[in-house]
Amino acid sequence: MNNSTILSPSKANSLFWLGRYTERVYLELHLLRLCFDKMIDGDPDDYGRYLSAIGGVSMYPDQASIINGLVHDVSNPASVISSVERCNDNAVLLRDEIKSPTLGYIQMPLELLRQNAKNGIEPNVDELQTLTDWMLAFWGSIEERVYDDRVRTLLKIGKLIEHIDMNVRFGYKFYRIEEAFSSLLACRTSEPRAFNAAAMDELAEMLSEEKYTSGDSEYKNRLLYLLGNAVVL
Amino acid sequence: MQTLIESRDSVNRWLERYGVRFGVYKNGVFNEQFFPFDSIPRVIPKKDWDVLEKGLIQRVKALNAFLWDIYHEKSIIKDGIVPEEFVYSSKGYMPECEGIDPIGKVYSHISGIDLVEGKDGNWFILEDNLRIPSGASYPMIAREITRKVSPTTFIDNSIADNRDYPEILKDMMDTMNAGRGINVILTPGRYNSAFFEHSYLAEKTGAVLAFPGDMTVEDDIVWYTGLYKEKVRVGAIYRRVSDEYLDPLAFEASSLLGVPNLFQAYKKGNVAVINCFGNGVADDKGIYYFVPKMVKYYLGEEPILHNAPTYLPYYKEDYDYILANIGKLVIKDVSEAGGYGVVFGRDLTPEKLEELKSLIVEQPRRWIAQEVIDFKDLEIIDGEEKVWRKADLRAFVVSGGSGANGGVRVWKSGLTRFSRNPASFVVNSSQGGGFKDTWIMNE
Repeated sequence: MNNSTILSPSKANSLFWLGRYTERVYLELHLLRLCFDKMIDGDPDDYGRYLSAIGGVSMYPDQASIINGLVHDVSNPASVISSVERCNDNAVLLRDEIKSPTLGYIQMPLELLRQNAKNGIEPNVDELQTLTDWMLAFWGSIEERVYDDRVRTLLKIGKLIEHIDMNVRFGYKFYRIEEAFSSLLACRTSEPRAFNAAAMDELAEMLSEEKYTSGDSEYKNRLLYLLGNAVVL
Repeated sequence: MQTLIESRDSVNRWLERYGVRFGVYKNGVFNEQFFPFDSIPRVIPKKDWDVLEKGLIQRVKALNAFLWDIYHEKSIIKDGIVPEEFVYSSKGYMPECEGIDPIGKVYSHISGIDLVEGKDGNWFILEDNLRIPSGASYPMIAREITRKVSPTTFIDNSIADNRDYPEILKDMMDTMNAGRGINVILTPGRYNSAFFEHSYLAEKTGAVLAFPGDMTVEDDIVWYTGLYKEKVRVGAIYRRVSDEYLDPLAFEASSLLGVPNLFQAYKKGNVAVINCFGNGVADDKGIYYFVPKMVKYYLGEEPILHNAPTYLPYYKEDYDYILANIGKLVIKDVSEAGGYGVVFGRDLTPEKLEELKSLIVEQPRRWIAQEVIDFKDLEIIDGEEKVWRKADLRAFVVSGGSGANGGVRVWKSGLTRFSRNPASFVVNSSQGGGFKDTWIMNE
């Protein structure tokens, strides 16, 4: 009896979102470190810019509560803990696909964040770096333990969509987006039915360095909209 | 062993890492908790285990024979061994199962038999769980972790390896499988209290973890639907959903947890449902009283394992005894489970005792009474000190496999649950209990 290749629509959906949220956590940690570094010099606008890019709203009165809130505030959907909770929501449904040791790399950050939030521990660079290490270990564990091509591809599709989305939101250089989109096109070759062909074609059309560099907010919003609709799971 | 005991925190960290949790609903709110692990194991010497093993196989064979009989010839009723009202008034009896021949004539593929050890070393059966007994995954994963954390403990002690449970389970599912379909474990979903177990057993047995909506029935065949509507036949379903919710077209119409028309496919023998529909009639607390009689009736053998001394108010002699001695007995509501509906007479005020007596007089079939067994306490670590607490053992018996004894095997392990409350006999995890590893010694 061969159980290896059948994958339900709900599991496919969870794999995609697990890929997205793990990448979001990784990038949030990276961006937060940059943002915190800038705030050392006391530019209050950096926090606002971060929140605006990630789609959040200002809800903290001072710098200390900003830092704590962006990491430990579970009521803030733009916080790291919220993103890890969402990783967990998807990962626990996939234990049989991704295996318990891999799931551990979601459980450990979740427990650390929950405990630190509960005990009122201020976020610090060690905590953030440990979380980053676990996110990287998660992907290493997928590489090491998951052999089903479809499982790996769906995770990767989620990761790449999130990667492009965050890079567009934060105005990163075009080459980063181009690289990720090229990988996404490779995923489309192996899993064509997971994609919305029209959205992908329009994205391909829009993603040139010239258009990206000169694009206004309407252009950016269209890109984000298409990214949100590029996958049909 | 000392290194293992000192490693308790480390073991608990590993359990946390693997997400070993169980869910509890309190005041309508779902919370996930860790199942507290105590690193001092329950140790069962080989000579004791040999007796337990034989007794458990005997008991489960008798229970499976009873289930077949009840849904077919009903000889045990006709011969006056079990009164028919105990069968037909049982909530677990399903008239829809009459005449159905489950694959291999096996009804209870996975039986969780709860035992306690008396202070005199005798074991007593407290309860048979033949519907969806849970808990095997906890000692399984605990052993995996304790072997990592304290390898010398396992070098120095000859302990039966319990990591073969997934193989035993898979062998049974493969043997029962109809039409060479896939094996699935059907979970009600993430918010079920035992979801960790469902997902872990799927991982370890290689079965597909299926959620409500993943399967359909066409022409009495069960199919698992893939991402692009491709279909794969399902041969065995280890379901973790109760009978009444398993098929909305046959039973509870409002259920969103089941598979429409599954019962029809099962009836036709096109899929193995593990455990079968209708098993609740045999693990009813009222029927429990009759299990030793079943052993004699079906197997022609003396029961190796004994029930706790039990009284049924249905019988006049027992009725009189219960009313006269209610203050020293434990009274159980046969319709409850999970440690609920269990009342110790000694804990009640005179007024409450009178109320309970009235309830027994009104509905004698609803209650059983048992002597309070002075069962052996086990040592646990509480903070920095060792204390003694009440504990039971759930043994897992798997029927329908390919091996000896008619394919019936007792897993050389079990779930030892203990009460963390010094005054309590209730060990259920849902009521705050913890668990230990259970060592079956090889020598």
